[in-house]
Amino acid sequence: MLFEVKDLHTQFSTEEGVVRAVDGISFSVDRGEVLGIVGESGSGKSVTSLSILKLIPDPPGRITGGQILLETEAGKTEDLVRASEARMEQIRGDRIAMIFQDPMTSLNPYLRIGAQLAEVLVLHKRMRRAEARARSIALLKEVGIPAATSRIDDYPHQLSGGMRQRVMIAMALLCDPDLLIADEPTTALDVTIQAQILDLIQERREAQGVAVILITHDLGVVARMADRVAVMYAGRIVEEASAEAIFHAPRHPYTIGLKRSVPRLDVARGQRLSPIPGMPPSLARVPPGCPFHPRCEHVMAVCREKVPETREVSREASAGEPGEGKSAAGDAAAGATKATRRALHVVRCHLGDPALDTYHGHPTSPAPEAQQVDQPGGGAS
Amino acid sequence: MSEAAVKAERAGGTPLLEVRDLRVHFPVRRGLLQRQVGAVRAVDGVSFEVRRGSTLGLVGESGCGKSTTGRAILRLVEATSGSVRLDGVELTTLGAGALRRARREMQMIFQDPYASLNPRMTVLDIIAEPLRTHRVVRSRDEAATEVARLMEMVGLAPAYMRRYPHEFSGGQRQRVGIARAIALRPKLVVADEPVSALDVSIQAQILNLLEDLQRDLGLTYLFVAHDLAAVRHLSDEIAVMYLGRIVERSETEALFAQPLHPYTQALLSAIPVPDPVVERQRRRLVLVGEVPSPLDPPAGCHFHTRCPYRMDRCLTEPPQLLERAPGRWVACHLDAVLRTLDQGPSVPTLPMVATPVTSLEP
Repeated sequence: MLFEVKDLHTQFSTEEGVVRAVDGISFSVDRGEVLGIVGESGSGKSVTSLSILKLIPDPPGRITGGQILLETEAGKTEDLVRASEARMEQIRGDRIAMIFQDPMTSLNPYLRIGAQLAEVLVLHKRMRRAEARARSIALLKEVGIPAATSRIDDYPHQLSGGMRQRVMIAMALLCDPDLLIADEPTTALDVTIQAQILDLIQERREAQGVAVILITHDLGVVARMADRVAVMYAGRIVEEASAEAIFHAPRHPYTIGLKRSVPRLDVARGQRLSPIPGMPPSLARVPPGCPFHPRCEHVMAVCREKVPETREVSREASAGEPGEGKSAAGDAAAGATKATRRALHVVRCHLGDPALDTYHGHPTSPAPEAQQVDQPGGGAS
Repeated sequence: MSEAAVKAERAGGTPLLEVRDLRVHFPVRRGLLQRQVGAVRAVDGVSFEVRRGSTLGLVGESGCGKSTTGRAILRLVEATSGSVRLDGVELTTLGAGALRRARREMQMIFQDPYASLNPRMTVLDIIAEPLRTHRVVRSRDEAATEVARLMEMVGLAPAYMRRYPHEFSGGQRQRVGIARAIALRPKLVVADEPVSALDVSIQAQILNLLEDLQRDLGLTYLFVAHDLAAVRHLSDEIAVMYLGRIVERSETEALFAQPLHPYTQALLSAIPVPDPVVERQRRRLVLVGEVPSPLDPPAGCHFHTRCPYRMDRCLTEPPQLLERAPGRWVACHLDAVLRTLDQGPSVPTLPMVATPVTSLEP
């Protein structure tokens, strides 16, 4: 396994008390795989990506527990939670690279893009300037920047939003990272440019076997890109499964609610949307028990008191098919393990599967109207 | 179409909003003397009408001029030329007093509920402001009663009317903005990206609210947005803009079933659908390059630099927006688009909606 996060906890000390932004999440991603992490504002999805690279500002933030396991080049595993800052500097940009929503957060406005790209190669690969420049130009061409030989001497502000995003992707790919973390990589872009950027990420995954963690709120982008999907709510993963299962046989009421609340281009028009009532909680005031219970139409007494454990959805119940096997060669046993892992479907909900099956039979049942009148919260969303 | 629209149609009513050849050019000035060296042609000859009680979706990518069109209609920016008639009244030439009176009839919902509400005013004062300006309410009590009614209409508890915007979530703030917009019972509401700043689970709440208000108040919407799924959900008709011009206009169902302009096709095919099985089967028309600058738009058809079907004629001659089939307005020189769509190499429509277009001979 290239990369595995086990029971990760990240907390922030704030005036309102301790905020558990990431509250015990586990997931893994292997070479050539795309894991989508879906969540709304305050779900902890971006803190997750910053935690992986240990970019959480301390104070106020701190990783308080868990492991972040990266397979080293020698085939051993290394726990990044225990790694020194010096070691993290070697890993960032070289083995794990990140793309942000706003390219200007990772591009220096005062430096020509060529200088910024070359710096990465000089630092990580000890290349000479001329060599680094040649490699940078080659990569800018690969990510589709026209006239790369001259554009390399531009400043970031001279490029359009889509072009800047490409430069950032080029920078992220310079050192052939094993893992690419893309945090809302296309949210600020127009759809026709988004399509180009997603194609580009897809291409790298196929050609070089890059593992990708794609963090987004856009269910369409996840459906297009991801092999597996983890749905986050209030700092926890509430459901994780293959993309097919998440979209065709979701088990958590939140996942089901999200899916039903989005208007779709490929279904008949005229149906009323079924929103999830209420709003996502502030991480400073996560409801007790299951954090989704105030918005859940299946809420039971136990949901208000006890945090549900993560459990496996029975195989028969999960209609999702495992994704197509990737071309990676391996013996039958390894293949079988991989298939098992790909088919794994876990959910954190007290509700048994049969109840949800009934629920599934009535996809147009209206959300409870009683909760439609929102109560003011502290600017949670 | 809403009931009100149906009624208006039966009555043979004129459209509520008629826009003719609207242009908005922003001068670009340079140098010490600030001489005009060019103009950004943000809106470059746009015509459409919106039926009473219906919704027209205005879509396109950033910089296409859709927001400027909405603002020019409300005269939040001044049109360079062209005509805008609301209920038969020409708006572009109204004097200050008449314009103020006309503003009762047309309101706007903004994208950013954080930036569009005055943080120092209570929700009561924010919603009551237009009521006071237009002397609809005469006392504080009357204002509070009316604001309470409006808050209930948009799904907010009136008990919170004395709170400030920062005490509300994004979705609730958007409800406040909507309450303010409908306070004067306007005929036309221009909604500019009203849900794009909101969380996914909240967007549906606001879209449903807009739908309810249209039904209950007989509102007419100009819905400006880039999210085509949301636009499709709410709109009776859709106009697609590219670089300041409308390239295609059609009834919603027909547009999505069979987009005719190559840009509309590309736009629809670029939007990922939340279904991995559908996504795997889709064929896409991926556009190369980016939208050219509106400061120096390409000659001829503005889309020719990215169009996979470009012909010589497209480089020089701007295509007119013509009705190529009943209710289908397309600005494209390519007759072949209409005929070859069903066998074309890159028909990008969604699997379930592909239908032949044999009836669309010009």
